[in-house]
Amino acid sequence: MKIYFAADSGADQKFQRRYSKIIDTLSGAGVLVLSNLAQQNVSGFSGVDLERINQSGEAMIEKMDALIVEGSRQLAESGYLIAIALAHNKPILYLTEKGRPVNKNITFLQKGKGPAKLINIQSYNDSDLDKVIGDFLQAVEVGEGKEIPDIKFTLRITSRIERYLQWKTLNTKMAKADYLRNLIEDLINHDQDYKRFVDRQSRK
Amino acid sequence: MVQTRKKICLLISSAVPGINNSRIIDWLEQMPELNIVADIEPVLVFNQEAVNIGPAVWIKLAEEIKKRLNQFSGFVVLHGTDNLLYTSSALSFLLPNINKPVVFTGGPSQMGTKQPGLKANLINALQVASFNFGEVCLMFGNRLLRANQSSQTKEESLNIFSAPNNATIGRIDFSIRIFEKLVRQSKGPVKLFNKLDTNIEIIEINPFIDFKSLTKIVSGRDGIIINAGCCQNFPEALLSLFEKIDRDIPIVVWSQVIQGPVLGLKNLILINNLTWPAATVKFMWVLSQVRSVVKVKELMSKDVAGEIMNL
Repeated sequence: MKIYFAADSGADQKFQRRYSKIIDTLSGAGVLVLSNLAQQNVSGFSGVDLERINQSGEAMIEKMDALIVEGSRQLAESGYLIAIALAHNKPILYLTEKGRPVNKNITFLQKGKGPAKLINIQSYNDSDLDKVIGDFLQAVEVGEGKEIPDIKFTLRITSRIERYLQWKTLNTKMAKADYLRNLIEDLINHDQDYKRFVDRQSRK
Repeated sequence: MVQTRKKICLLISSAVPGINNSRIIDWLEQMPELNIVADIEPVLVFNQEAVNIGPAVWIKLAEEIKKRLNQFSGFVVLHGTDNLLYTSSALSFLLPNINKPVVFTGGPSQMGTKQPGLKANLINALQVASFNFGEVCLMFGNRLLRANQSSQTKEESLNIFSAPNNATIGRIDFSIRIFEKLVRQSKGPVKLFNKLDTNIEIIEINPFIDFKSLTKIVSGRDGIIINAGCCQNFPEALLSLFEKIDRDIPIVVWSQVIQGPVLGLKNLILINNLTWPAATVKFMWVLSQVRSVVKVKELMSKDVAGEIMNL
């Protein structure tokens, strides 16, 4: 899963620590985090991928599974990022520190039919930040359309594996990719360690 | 370029595919996310298909922008892809010293309005129009281009237009990056030119030209512009036609191939550093101000609105 995280890079130390915590929580949950806070915000893409995206005219946000904005501090680009993420039907978590007012234009979005489904405004404090993020990740994983396998992945295999897959799928009349996806789904469903990890994330 | 929430004028200059123009305001209201980018004020300028847009609409658009220049941070022009390069190039000459961004956008014609193409382009254009620079530009896909150096691409891409590197004035990755070294900044007061000389003859060299009827057609024209395309030489019949034309009538030869001086005729002006739409509308703009061949030649080769390509 890839998530773009945006926050005010000029914020004070207190917020910088929170931003780091958000990034750590996401990374710890197995999410590839791209952010305006990092010097190189496209590090999750190869040069070839970037060139292909550039040529195709697509926006980088299309390649993300979700957007998280920390909006306690004013971020000039937040309106734009939210709007463009909504245009591409990406789920959004808009975070504000408890007690801080939320921008009226952003709360107004919760009244719109389409945007309301996608935008999740949450206030947080240091003690429940992990849980807020965990809940959002769960929602993104099972959200509308997320069961469609749309993430490309290059897997190099040996000729022995290739021969096996060929034989296996020939006899099962199944596409090789479907066969591998099913195997991974089975692994996920039976992996007790992973289940405990996911539960821990959502309880935090 | 620090940004705050800005007021943007959205000029609707042609029918939006799939949207009844009488309901365009309703359509905009269905996209509340546009209002988190900027305060938008829509203005309906022309409500027919873009293919019907010509010099009268270009001038109207320029006048509408000039009238509102002090009220808005920037302007977004919603325009179908047909004729878009002509309209946007014309705007750059009618408002050559514009001090606000004028951003043309629209959706790929094959896309329905429900697909993200149009909406995403519109959001990007609104954000670009909030920046502080003065240019007429195009925002499609993930590129911001100087309008009067742009050409339509043939590739299957959301980047429907392309421009040389030094006319690609911005790109989008996650946010919009404007290349400050490449964008134009206004010098002096903004002047509106509200005249274009449309009494010109446009000739495209091809094997089927009827030169006999052309001789009659070109008489009485204020100027002639020839699209020589990839031809390195002129047909004999065209050379005879040149001989018959008054030496005081400027003839622009637009070619991407011919480099050196063209023939010995003093009224022949070779243009090889402009796009075809830019060359055509610039010629109309120039003729609306000067008539002598020398002056026309001088203005045609002068960089008026960043249109000269340094390839």
